[in-house]
Parts: sequence; C-alpha cells; structure tokens
Amino acid sequence: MSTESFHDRFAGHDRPSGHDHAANAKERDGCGQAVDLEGLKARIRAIEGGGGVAHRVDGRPVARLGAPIDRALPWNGLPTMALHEVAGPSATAVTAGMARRFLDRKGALVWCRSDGLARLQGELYGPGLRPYGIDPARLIHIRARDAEETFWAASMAMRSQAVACTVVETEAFDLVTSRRLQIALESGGGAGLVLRHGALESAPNAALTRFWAEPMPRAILAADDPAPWRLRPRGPSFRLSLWRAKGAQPSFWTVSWNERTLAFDLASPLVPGAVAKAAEDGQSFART
Amino acid sequence: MPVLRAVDAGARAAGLRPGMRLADAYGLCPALVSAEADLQVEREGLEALARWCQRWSPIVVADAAIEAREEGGGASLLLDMAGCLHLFGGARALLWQVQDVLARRGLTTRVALAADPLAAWAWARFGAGDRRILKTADPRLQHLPLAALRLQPRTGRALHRLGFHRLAQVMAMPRAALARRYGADIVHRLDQLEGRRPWPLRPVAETFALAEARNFAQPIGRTEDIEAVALGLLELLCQRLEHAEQGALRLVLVLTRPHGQAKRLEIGLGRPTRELAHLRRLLRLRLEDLLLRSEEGIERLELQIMEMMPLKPAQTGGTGESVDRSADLARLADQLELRLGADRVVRLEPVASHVPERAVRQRRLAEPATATAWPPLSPRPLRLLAARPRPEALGLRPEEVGILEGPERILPEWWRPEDATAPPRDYVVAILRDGRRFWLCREDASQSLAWGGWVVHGRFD
Repeated sequence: MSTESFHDRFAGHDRPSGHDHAANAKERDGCGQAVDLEGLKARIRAIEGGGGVAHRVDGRPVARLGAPIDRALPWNGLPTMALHEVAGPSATAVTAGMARRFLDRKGALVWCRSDGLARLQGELYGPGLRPYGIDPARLIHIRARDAEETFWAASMAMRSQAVACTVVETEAFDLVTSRRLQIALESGGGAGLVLRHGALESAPNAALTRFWAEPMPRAILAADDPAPWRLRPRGPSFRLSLWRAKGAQPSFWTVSWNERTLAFDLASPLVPGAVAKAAEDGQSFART
Repeated sequence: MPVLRAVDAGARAAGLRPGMRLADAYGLCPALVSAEADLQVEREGLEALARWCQRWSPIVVADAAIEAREEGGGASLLLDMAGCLHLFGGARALLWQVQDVLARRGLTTRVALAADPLAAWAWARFGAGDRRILKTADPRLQHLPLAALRLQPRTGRALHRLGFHRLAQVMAMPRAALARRYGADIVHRLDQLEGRRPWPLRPVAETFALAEARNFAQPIGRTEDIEAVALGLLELLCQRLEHAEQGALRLVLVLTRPHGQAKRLEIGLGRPTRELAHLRRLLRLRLEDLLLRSEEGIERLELQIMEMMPLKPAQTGGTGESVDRSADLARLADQLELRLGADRVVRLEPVASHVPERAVRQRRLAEPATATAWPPLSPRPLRLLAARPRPEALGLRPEEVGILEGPERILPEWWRPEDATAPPRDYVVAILRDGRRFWLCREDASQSLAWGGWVVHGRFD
C-alpha cells in the first residue's frame, strides 16, 4: 500500500478519495448498466462456486457477503488487508457472519477479547458459532488481560500469513491504534474486523468500512408472519447500515443470515415502506 | 531437644560434633555461636551451587540425602565428568581447580574423583591422603569405614555390633550369605562401589542438549548489550541445530550475576524450529520484560537448548520465505503464548455435554484440534454470561419479552458429584421488542414459572 493511498484514507471521507476508488465510482455513476452486469456476474459466480473469495480489487482478495450487500459496495464485497468496524446491538452476530465470509480463504480465525469485556458482554460461546459455520479447528481464541494486550495480540495475528481474519473486541478504537492495525494487516494479508461495544462512536479511525448492526424489531418480524418461530429456518435477521465507508455511499440493508449458504440474504419478511423508512434512517445516520 | 546439625572447623577443634545436644555443646564451648538451621534455605543453596557447578559438567547431582548429624552425613555434589576432563587439563588439575574456586567462595570442601559415583562420594567423605583419584574397584576402598556404603541405619548398626568396621571385612564375606542375612541392599551397594551396578542419580538441573555461553571480564548491565550477546549466541546455536538437523523445543537463557545468582528465562515452542528470525523475535520479547538492577550487571550469559527434536530442512518458496502455512501459525502461537501465557491462547473444543457451561473446553494450541464441527444442538447463544445476571440488570422487563423458542429442559449430570443435588434447568430463547435475543434460564425448573426465577445466561446478537 503506497503512502498516497494511506493519506487518502485518513484525509476524510467527504471528498472523493484515492484514484483507485475514483475509478470505481466513475464506473458506478457513469453507466448504471455496468453495475448491474457486475451484480449479475457476482450472482453467477456465487451460484457456480458457492461464493468464494476469488475476486480481487487492487490485488486484494475480496470476501463476498451476499449478493444484495456486495452490489452496493464499490469493491463488490469486503476487501481483505483492511479494517471493517461493526458496532451496534447485533455486532457479535454480524461480525461472526462476516468472519465466516473471510474464511473461504485458507487460514485461521483469531478472535481477541479482554477479560473485562468478557465479564461485561459475555464470553464467546463456541456452540453458538455453529449456525455461522465457524469450525472449532480454525478458531483461535485469545483471552487477553486488558485492552492493550488485546490490540498487541491482534496486531501480531494480523501480521501473520496464516490468519485469514482477525476479530478484535473493543470499546475504544482510536486513530493511532487503528492505523497500527492497518499497517499490520497490509503485511499479513488477512482481514480485520473490529467488534465495537457501546454506543455509536463517530470519531474517525482507519477502518475502511463502518457498520452499525441492529436486530430486526419484533414488530416487523411479526407483521408479515403471525408465528415468529416459523422464521427460524431463514436465520436471524438484522438491520445493517454502512454509515461510513471510504469511497462508497452510505447504504442500508435488512438482511438475514442464511445458515445453508453461510452468507447474508436480503431479509424476506418485509413490511411495505419499511426499507424506505429504514434507508432514510441510514442516511440521517451517515450525516451525524 | 535441639541438636547440632553442622559445625565449622573451629567448633570441631573445640570438640563439637554434629548430632551433639545444643546444651552440651554450650557446656563444652561457652563461646559457641549457633543459628537455627533452615532446611529449605539449605536445600535451595545447595541446588544453586549445583547449578553453578555446571561450569565443569552439565550433569550435577545435589545430594542431601543423608542426615547431617550422622557419620559422614551432610550435603554433597556429584559431577559427572565423563568426557569433560580434558577441558580442564586432566583429573589432577580439575580437582585442584574445584577446591580452589570453591574455597574462594568461602566453602570448605573435600573432593575425590573415581570411576564410579559411590566410590567418589565415599572417598571424598572418608578417604585419607593426598591421592584422591581412584580407578575402578580401587583396592584402597577396602580401608574405608562401613558408613561409606550408605546402608540403612539399622543394617549398619547390626553389622557394627557383629564387629564389622571396615569395608574389607564385608568384602571378604560371601555375597550370597550377606544378602541372605542383611538383605539385597548391602550387595547392591558393594556392586555400586565397585562399578558393577549403576547408581541412579537425578541431576539437579535438567541437562541441556546444546548450549553456547559467553563470560565477561567486566559485568555488562545494559539491556541492549545483553540482547546483542544473546542474539549472537542464538545464531551460533541455530547453526549447530541446522548442522544436526534438529529443531529446538525449549530454550533457557541463563543470566549469571557476579555473586553467582542466576536468572533463568525460558522460551517454549509449540513445534520444533531452528528458524533464526523467529527465535530472535521470541528472545527479544522475552528480554523485553527483563528488569535488571543497573548496578549489578551480568558476568555470564548462557543460552541452552533444553529439548530438541529431529527436523528436516524446510521447504521454502522462491523468495526464501516459508511456504508452510501451519508453520506460520505455529510461529504466531509461540509469540502470543510467550507474552500472554499458554492458557490465554486457546482453541475452543466441543465436549459432549448438555450442560451449557460444560459443552466447551479450552485446549492449548499445541495440542492438535480434534473436532471439526460444533455438535448440532438446539439454538445456542453467541455469548455466554458466566455471571447469569437477573433480567432487570440488562433492562429486560417481563412485559417486553416474547418467547421465540423453547422451553428446553436440561437435566443435571447426576453422575458427577457436584451435580448430585442440582435441579433441572429450563432454557428459552427470548426476543425483545427491539429484536434482541437472549437466552433465559430458569435455574430451578421444579419451582414455579414466576419471572423471579429466571436469569440471563446468554446473548444471541
């Protein structure tokens, strides 16, 4: 990664950033057809190959999350060698899902947390990872004593070639720490997921994308289906908003985790107008 | 009743002996200065001295087996000099050096060198004269007292009563008759004395497989200097490992202070390696937490490989870097374990148990993963709350909670003693109005269904 693109990353999200992203943006804005074509290609690839990480952007492998989300992202998925932040009440579940998408590549999943956070938020529970398709053989659980050790362990894991994805649980995530992790990722080649606890924090950091994940409210779940337990085969549903991304528009999705394909689907039980309303929420979110 | 445990040369001249009652000793010698014996400190001191004696031989045995107040009792050190003598200019020079160096440390010693450990021990204790080097089954051993055999006190007393005082008398007896009358022990001892049977000894410190050391005329104290020397030693060791096609599993860096105290820094590895870059990184990490008092410094630095395993030359890619992904992972695990501790870098492994907190076990990374999938169970949360707070503590109100799934009854494992009186539990997946899902647990399913009986055991989001 050149210093120039680094500068672009931290220069702010408002102005159009880096030439690599600019090219993407032009493609998207100039001819809407191309976007659809890409989406179709992605879908075909997903059908044929089960949605691997074959695709690359700037030489970086990209993990596909699921067709509806990928279509709105300029990289057609989430790139590796970059940090992605997930916050909100459903952050753990969405992080687990995203981590699984990065595991289509070879390598381990390293999950770092501190003792204090485990006490407050609960300890990661292996059997709960089953619906997310994360196997015990590939998971390395790091039980750091405090935040400093957590970030140290995470940066070691990110620097390693043998790790496909590193998850860091944290409350605070400042610019300096995030840059250090970003540099580690660039020498390692895996992906970094930052699982943030607590309220929405809009202070800048080096994450390429920043998501806010909420569960689907019960009212929306129930409006379409009077028997909510029948929803189970479709997996848990989330309202996922990408409220800040370098080189991408803020977007909003209602998705569910598909336990069969191990990817995110568009959630089907939709109340008319809910998406539009939610999209507005997402937009106003991004402006804060 | 306090007795004397050890006496110095002056006290011995005044007629005091170990085993004497303290009151009698004061009677004989009113100027006596006595101190209470601390066996723990004594043992530690002996072991420290034994480790220090590794400058002569890697195999040193600290032997404090015999009570000090018995005849010929007290501590001794046994050094296995096989193959090391030429390093010190021969047997005579070695004995002189050992006695001289230890005397400078304020220790009075008696030394002897023999082909068999028991013979050396016996001659150092009871031997007379200046010729302290014995050959196998040396005839001079016959003049030693019976105590040289280290017999059980009871056997020793019995033989003494019968008029056996010297080894020559015992050796003249037919072995079979001795064994019949006094047990096989005495025959074993005689065999050990003459080298017909080994004397199994446990060295005080484990032996290293390979080691490199540097001594400093002037103690060094700066961490940078220590690091530079240690890395140099590491490089030499890696070359030797490469030559031997071996990989290190455990290394110890020994830092010796001028007054002989040593600090040991250990580096454990998940799998054998001789990769210089990796070992260098681990050594640096270890030295980072090293805090030395600046005025002291280090006079000797030794890097030992305690355990190693055969390791074939690794396959490398075109640019020279490793192509083995599992080796990369092992390297990462070594670094993490070194700083965090092995119990903090773990694999989660499923266990066949329906009790949620027992369904998963933490295993060290070095142990291979046995399971490749989580067992199919009813829905399980992503996070388990060990504290099991009341729902109110997390802002859950009964009117807000809907049940998504359940109840699931989990019975205690009655075959475990700690579960003998445990009640069955009920679990439900509860969903809040905002969609958050929790795993609620009724800790005693035999009680009423009232809200007060429920706690939160997990979170799904």
